[in-house]
Amino acid sequence: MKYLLISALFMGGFGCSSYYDSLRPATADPDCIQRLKPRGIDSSWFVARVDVVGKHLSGLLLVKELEDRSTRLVFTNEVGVTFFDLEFLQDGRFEVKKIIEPLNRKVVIETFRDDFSLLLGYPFKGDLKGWWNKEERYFGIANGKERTYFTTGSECDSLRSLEAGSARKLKVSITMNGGVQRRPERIIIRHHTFNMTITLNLIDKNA
Amino acid sequence: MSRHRCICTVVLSVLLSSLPLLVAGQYPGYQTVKDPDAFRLSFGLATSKVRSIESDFLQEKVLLALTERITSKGKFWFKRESKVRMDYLTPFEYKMIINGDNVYFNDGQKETQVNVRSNRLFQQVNRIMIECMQGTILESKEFDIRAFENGNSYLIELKPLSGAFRKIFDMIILIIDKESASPEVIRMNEPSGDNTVITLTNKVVNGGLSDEIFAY
Repeated sequence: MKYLLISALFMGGFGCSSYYDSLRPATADPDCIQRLKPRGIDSSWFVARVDVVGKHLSGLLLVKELEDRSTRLVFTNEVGVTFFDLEFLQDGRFEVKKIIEPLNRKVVIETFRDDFSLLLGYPFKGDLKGWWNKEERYFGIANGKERTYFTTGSECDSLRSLEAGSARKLKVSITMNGGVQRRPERIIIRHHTFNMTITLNLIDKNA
Repeated sequence: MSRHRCICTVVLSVLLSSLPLLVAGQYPGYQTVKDPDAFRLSFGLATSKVRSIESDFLQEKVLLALTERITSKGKFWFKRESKVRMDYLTPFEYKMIINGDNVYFNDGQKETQVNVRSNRLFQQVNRIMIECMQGTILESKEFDIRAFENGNSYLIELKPLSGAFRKIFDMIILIIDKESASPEVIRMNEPSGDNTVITLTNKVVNGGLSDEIFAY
């Protein structure tokens, strides 16, 4: 029984450890930040798949940057019906231009807002700080309980991920593969506090 | 009083005489069908003879305000009474099969089956899709319907009456080939001005289709 309690406390201790505990402050390398800082996505169409708590939704997502530097995200189903049309102004302000009734819920809208804001790099527009752990360099902001980072390797060779979380927990991570930074071939937005993943695959309109 | 009646008569005559121009302006080359009841009967009779359709399709989604469009292509099948299959082949792959009350989707990653009875809006969309193919859409109580024609085709304008559906579609326009009594173009206009146009090409009408095409 004693060992069981010790084990439980030991395991419990692990359970309470913070995801970002190993991060140590580091110089915010301006060259590295300049090279890899997320700056949004070039206008593109993606095949979008959303898996959320056992439900699956698919369609097409248009990311379009307009001349005034605002960005629109329009999600339609394959047959062409528009599900939502979201707008981010240049300064990051957010507006829902259109959303169909089943999706018109505060929690859904705020989740999309936060995920796409991170993808488009709005949290990284101000002054950024630096951190490091054994393998990765982190750049971003630690604002109160909120943490927003982009990560790279020790050589600052490529953008590895975008992350948002609290001081203790990783909440959302975004990874991008293939293509170039502003036009990745595949984007995966993964939630770590509940079961939700958005997968975006770039469409070659000339295929 | 007589002067007032006179002005009304003039205004009415001007409106009536300009009606064909207004209609022609709305849908160039089309005139309002002269006898809606006779049209309804003959249209229903002609379309009831369509047992199956196999075709290619081209779908163009236009986002008006964003000056964006995306074109997709694929294969289309319809079999009376209520079977529809659409395979999107480029620039993405997607399969949708409607078989009675059941709808099957396959986006290449996941297969989904839905019974449309579980969702009223879904049921409505399913029924409209089938009724458009069957030609029974003119009997629908869910739309304000107007019909036009030219030498080769009918143009049927459907304005949704229900609130939920009207939020999604401002209007659906069908162009039906007179000779084969089968749809050529389905246009879905959204309240924002965005639209989706599906054009059926290389059509084979009543060529016979196996039920296996609609199996999943």
